[in-house]
Amino acid sequence: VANDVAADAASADPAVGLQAVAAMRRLADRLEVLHVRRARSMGWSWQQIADPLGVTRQAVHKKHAGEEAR
Amino acid sequence: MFERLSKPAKNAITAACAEAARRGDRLTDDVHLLIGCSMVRSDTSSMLKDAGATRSRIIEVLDGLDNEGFNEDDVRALAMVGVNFEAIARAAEDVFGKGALDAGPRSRLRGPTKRAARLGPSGKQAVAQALSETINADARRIGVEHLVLGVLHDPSPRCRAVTVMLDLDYDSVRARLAERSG
Repeated sequence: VANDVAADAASADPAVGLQAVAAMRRLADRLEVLHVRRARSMGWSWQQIADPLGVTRQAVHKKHAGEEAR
Repeated sequence: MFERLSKPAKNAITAACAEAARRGDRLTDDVHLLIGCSMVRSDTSSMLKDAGATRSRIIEVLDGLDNEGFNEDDVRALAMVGVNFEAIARAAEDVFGKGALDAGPRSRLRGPTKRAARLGPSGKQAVAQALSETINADARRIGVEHLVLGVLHDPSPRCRAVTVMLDLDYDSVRARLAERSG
């Protein structure tokens, strides 16, 4: 079954592939917001959040601190 | 091209770049230009206002699009590349509560910034089209009206989605502008 999916993906219409890429991006974005919000509510520092995301503390703060203020 | 911009048109582009930055968007797109055009004091922004396309309304529509949940086409497309959305949604609901992935604020590539975002491809294309509109109209300066027409001539998919919801299209806006100037 996994091979079938892989074959479908490889031969897929670019429109479907691109829609999948866009949806994955939105999915990742949405999950990031949820996880950051939860981590902050659990008292995680920006550095602790930044490490697993592979970004700097400043980057993650800049991206998500505004939401915390809302 | 930029030297032919009128002052209000320049102000509209500056406002658009600031708006893009405020939203945390990396580039200034055609949809930001539309917002910029609605913000500066001009006959065209009054026309947009009369048509219901105020800054707040455009932003409201854009936010609605950006915060959209996942539809059936998304789920099908994800399945095609081996991603089981249902399983991810179930796992997310276990941790974050019901409807965790339904809709919500999209995380940005970066947060709001004070530095204006530079013009992106769709923004540049809209300004280039605005110049064509100016030349076709035999005008000397690129006005806000030309910018709006430049945006509506061949909008990017995101901008098109916004203009469709606002019921703004090239032909009707052109007609409205002609009515006002006539």
